[in-house]
Amino acid sequence: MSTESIVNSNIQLVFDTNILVDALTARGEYYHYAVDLLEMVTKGDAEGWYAPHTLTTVYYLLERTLTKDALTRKDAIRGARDLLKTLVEILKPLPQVGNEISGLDAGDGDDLEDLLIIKLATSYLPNPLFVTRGSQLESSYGFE
Amino acid sequence: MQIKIAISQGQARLLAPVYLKPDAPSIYYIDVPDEMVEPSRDWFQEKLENSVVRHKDKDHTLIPDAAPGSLQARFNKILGSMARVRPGTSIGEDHQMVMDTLEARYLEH
Repeated sequence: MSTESIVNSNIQLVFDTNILVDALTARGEYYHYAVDLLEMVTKGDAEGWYAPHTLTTVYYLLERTLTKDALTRKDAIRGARDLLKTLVEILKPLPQVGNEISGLDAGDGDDLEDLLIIKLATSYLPNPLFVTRGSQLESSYGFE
Repeated sequence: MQIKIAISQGQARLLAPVYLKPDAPSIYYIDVPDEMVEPSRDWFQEKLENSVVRHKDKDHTLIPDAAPGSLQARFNKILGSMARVRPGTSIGEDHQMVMDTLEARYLEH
């Protein structure tokens, strides 16, 4: 598949689930690095990508995280939903048909979600850089 | 019967689903040799902290710093009173949180 029409920058960042939650909820000591990378994407200094199958996980983590500080559960749901909407305005989805999992060579204990991100990104982008903190992605394609 | 599990990132996972009878206990114990067990700690967090200069401890009730018009300002606006600097979590804690959510959503009646 040609990537000429979809790639506009030499820097193609692929964001892992936990990094997105860190950035959106200011979580952990290094969240600002994740926000800075997303800011680069909004300014057009880099391309930002996400794997569609990770979105529900991001949503669940957002909602659970916000619930701890929300006055009502409704507030947490609204916050999680609006953050997710903002995220998909900033990042682009990696194309995903749904049967990609059939070709994965997963070993015992491998994280299928991570393997799928790797497969989608490496199949579609010429030079993906994975933004992650400790996962299958790091051991396979570390970018710290 | 013997059940196959994988232990990864501080969590155990069944490699094939096992459905228990309604009156069966839901907690089982497995033996892992002591010499195979690392001390209980978050390796990923530790690795990250060692690779980056540690920032001064922050007050976790603080609202994240944001320049006007920045993306962080946008996030803070969306979150309103929920905008604050939060303590970090490990990959394992995130995994457990998702598992708990899915269980509550799809398995509890």
